[in-house]
Amino acid sequence: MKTAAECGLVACPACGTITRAFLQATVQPPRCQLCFARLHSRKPMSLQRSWAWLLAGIIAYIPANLYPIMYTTVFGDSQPNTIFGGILVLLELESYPVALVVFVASVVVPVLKFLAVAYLLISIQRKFAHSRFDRTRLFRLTEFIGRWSMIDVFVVAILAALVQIRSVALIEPGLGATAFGASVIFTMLAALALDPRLIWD
Amino acid sequence: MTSAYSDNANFKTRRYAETVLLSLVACHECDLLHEKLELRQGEVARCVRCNAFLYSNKPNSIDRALAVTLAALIMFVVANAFPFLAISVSGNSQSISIVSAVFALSDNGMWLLGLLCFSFILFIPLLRVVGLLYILLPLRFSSRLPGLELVFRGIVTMSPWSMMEIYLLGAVVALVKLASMANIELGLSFWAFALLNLLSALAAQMVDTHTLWEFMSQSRGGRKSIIDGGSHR
Ligand SMILES: [Zn+2]
Ligand SMILES: [Zn+2]
Repeated sequence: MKTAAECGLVACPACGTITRAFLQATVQPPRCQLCFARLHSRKPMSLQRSWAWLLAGIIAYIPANLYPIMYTTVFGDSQPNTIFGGILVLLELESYPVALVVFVASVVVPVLKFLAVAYLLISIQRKFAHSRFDRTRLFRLTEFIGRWSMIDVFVVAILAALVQIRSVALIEPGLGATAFGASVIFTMLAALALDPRLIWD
Repeated sequence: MTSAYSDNANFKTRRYAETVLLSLVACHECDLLHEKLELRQGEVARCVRCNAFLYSNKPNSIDRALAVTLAALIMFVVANAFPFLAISVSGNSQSISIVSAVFALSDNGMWLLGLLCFSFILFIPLLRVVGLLYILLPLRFSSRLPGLELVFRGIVTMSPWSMMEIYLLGAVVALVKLASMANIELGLSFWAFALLNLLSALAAQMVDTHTLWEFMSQSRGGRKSIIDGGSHR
């Protein structure tokens, strides 16, 4: 059993058609004859790009937790709400399932995703030979679950649109929501830049 | 599995190489080569090493996928034409449409986040539905429109950024947060949007990426004739 790369072949990243690798021979990347996508055996600069997006994601996660994601004004009394504060409010309301969803989506998933991508990158760079199958599964999980963290941003946006009842209650989005959204998007880009085939090379 | 193809020297001529290549498939997650086997209807082929999805056999799936995608387009229009959610607190009520959440962000100076949310929950999902129709409708009649491959590559690239289902769950979370303080009403849009989510998940089930590439290459006379007669652009 061999990989396409070991046989001098390239699978089109879009349609999967297999072509012989002329990659090093040409300056311009060759294109797939079936779908005209640019051919490359592995995603170019995969590790560097993934590290860069991951660092950006971690950095953006700091202001996401420090700044309020929204401001709640009830009868003229304005209060800033951070991500963690929002979870505490849900616990006080005894909405345990929702508190759990928000806690998992906005705290557990982002942090685990940072750790997972970092571990995958380090394991590729250190050329770990063990648990390749499990690392591939970890990659799939990271890729699948990362987008769900956007739920926090959407909740803030919906609340800010809905709770606009003058003189009673008012919700406005805060800077923390932008930082959180940026963190989720950067981490998604980190996972997209990471080529899982490198785990097996 | 594939030992016969492992030696580069086996590829004596260009023509021979290309015939061989069409019978192979490489795993997109670990790059392992597999020989393509004939699958029975409904069967799925997975990578022997990492268990990734390789290809499937779903004949006649275009009709169903087309029906579901058309229904999704209708639901998209309905979901944006009616109220999404409404609340009322002590006689004052407020109702919003799906796009209101985007304006709530941009009106508060967060126009960049608003623009991104607009893309994730409306623009990209709409592009995907319209793009799929652009591909499926002509394919249904064994014909094709220009730029088919480019459109489909766009759809695949965009798909992680289509976040309708996450928005739907976000609406539910927002409602639970408000449930104790206000009266909540789910608008017609909410149900249309939920249905739209279901339909687009169904459409993705019916024509997976591999199946669609297979149909698209058949519309040009099959992979082999494309490569035999094709020129490198
Ligand atoms: Zn291709
Ligand atoms: Zn594999």
